[in-house]
Amino acid sequence: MCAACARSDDEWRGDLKNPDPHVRGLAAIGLSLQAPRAAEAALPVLLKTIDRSDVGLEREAARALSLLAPEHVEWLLEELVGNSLISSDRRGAMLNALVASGAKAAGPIVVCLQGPGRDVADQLGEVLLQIGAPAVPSLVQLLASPDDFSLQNYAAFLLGKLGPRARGARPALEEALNSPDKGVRRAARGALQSMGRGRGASKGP
Amino acid sequence: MSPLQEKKQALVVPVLLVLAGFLSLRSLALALAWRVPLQFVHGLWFWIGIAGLLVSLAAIVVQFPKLWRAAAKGEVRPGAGPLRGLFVAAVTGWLLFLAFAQPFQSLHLQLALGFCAGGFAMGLLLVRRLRRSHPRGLRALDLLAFSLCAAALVLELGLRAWNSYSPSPLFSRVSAGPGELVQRYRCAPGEVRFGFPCNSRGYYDGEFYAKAARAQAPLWAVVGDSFCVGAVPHAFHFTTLCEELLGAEIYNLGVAGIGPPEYAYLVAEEVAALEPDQIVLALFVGNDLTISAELGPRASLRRWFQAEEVFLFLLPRRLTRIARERERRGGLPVAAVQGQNEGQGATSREAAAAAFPWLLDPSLEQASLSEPTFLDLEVQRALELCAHEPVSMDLAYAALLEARAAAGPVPFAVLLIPDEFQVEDDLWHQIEQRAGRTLQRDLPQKLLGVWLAEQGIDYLDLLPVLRAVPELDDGQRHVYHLRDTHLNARGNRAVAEALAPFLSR
Repeated sequence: MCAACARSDDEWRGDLKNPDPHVRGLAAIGLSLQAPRAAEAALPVLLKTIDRSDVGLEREAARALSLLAPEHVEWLLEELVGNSLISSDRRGAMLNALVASGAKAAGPIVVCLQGPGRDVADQLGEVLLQIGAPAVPSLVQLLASPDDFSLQNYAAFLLGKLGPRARGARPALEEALNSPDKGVRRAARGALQSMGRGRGASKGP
Repeated sequence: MSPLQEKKQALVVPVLLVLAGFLSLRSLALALAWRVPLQFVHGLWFWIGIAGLLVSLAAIVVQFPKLWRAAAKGEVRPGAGPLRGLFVAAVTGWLLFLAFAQPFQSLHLQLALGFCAGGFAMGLLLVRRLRRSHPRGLRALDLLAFSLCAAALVLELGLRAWNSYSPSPLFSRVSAGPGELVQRYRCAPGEVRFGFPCNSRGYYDGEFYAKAARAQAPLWAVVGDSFCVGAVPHAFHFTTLCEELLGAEIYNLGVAGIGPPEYAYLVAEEVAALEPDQIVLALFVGNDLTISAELGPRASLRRWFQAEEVFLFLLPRRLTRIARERERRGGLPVAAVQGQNEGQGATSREAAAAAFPWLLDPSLEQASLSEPTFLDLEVQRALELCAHEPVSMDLAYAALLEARAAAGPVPFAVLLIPDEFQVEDDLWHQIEQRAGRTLQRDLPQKLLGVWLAEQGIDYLDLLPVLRAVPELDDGQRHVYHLRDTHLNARGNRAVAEALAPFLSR
């Protein structure tokens, strides 16, 4: 009976436009769980449901977003960067979803930081820190940002914050000690110190 | 009773069981269809619910053949017992839904019908056993249950009838239409507030005249809620002060407790006929954006299955809140503005200032609300407005567009009045500590500003205006009456001084 009653992906998609916000929220959660790769249409509904305290599905929508995030990192980043008026609940849920995406999110985040993501660098940086060791290769990439000393500085700062978990970035940081920029050199030195004894005290960009 | 009638009556129970079975099966199918998200949301409780529905179906399946055979053989005693049982199951299910399954969601109601039907079937099973072992106890239980359920239903119907006959703010519900709310909350014609009588239409202003009967001067019409009714004497209200600054007339149409849908109603039904030269909606950010969710989809069901719409639940909550506030205020009137029933004849500014000295010295203000109630209210508003986009923002936008459409060719503008927590920093810090989450203090104005600009609607944001009022010696701006949420004389003056140039541009 379970299989006979089960709803199809198209039925969930159809209900994403239902006039009842509770039905929309459940449909978005259903589609996210049933077909995460094909659930892009559910993303905006999940974000709206996070803000709808009258529907009572805020936490579940945030959880579903985290499950969906690894397949839709770019979309999340675009939404995060493109809309400055989103609520803190929504922003928090998106950032948690990016953290949950782990290494899959690190690369796109770094690309975003090199572009429109600079305005939310502190938030994206916090995500990379929470991702931890899997973010190190992407941070090394950021450290190598051509001619962008503030991004290189920030990358070194984040690597320093990761401490021993960022040991894989040691060669890149040692190379950064030769940077023509004083700030980058200082941040790299601090990061290298934090990988051994003590912690760096560099500031962000 | 003839044998045929007896036979028909005896079939009532099997037929009701079939109906109950259908409802339970329908709920089971629905629950399984929505299994993916429901299981995610409710976890183990989902499977407990499924088990409950299966047990109900089993009870129905077990009983039906026996009851059908007994009915066919004429062994079932005719009577209203099963129908009483159905009534008790229905009313009990209704009350339990109102108590435990809120906020109302239509899917939950559909699932609850199955549980209710299952409860009825289980009840029949229990009755059959009790009839043999405890017949007298069963009769007493039957009578008690039926009486209680009947009393609950009759009380609710009686309260609804009373509300229709004699509407009062105590009985107001979300489902009331804009016209009903305006009539319910409008001041009475001639009602005296701070010594000044309301006009013949129930507005806290002088008389309104049609265009032909007025002097040839620009006329503005300002429509709003309790901010237009005001917590100050008429002479100190921002519309009165603005009239003096502009040298023109402003009709102030304020009704306490209303919001954007009612503003649209007033523009269509009353303002348009006055033929003003411009219409201004005074939108109070504090509660005009959180229109207590209109009933929306399934409105008729919500009138019976949403707790805020059922007097049995609504009235005790309201009365408890009022009693608690009265206790906190040591027996003083609840939510009454200082002096609003005093100052007989003090219609001029000088007379009002003499009668109400706190108008010129905020340190003399007395609070309208107790401190815990005021803080609870402000925290709730901050959470609704500043944690995320208000859930009914779309409804507010739709109502504003409706008001603009009702204004027709008359120029239309909006006045954004901030909440006190957006202006007073001490209050904001208290709210941040209580809220326990990140809040964006100016989020409502940012959202509204973007939308109003997109719609090409002129607006005046009073947030920077009131924040620019210099602080007094205690570090507070004192533009709102003490723990009242409404503007005091200082606040009204600041608003008038900003509004006048905006209107005359």
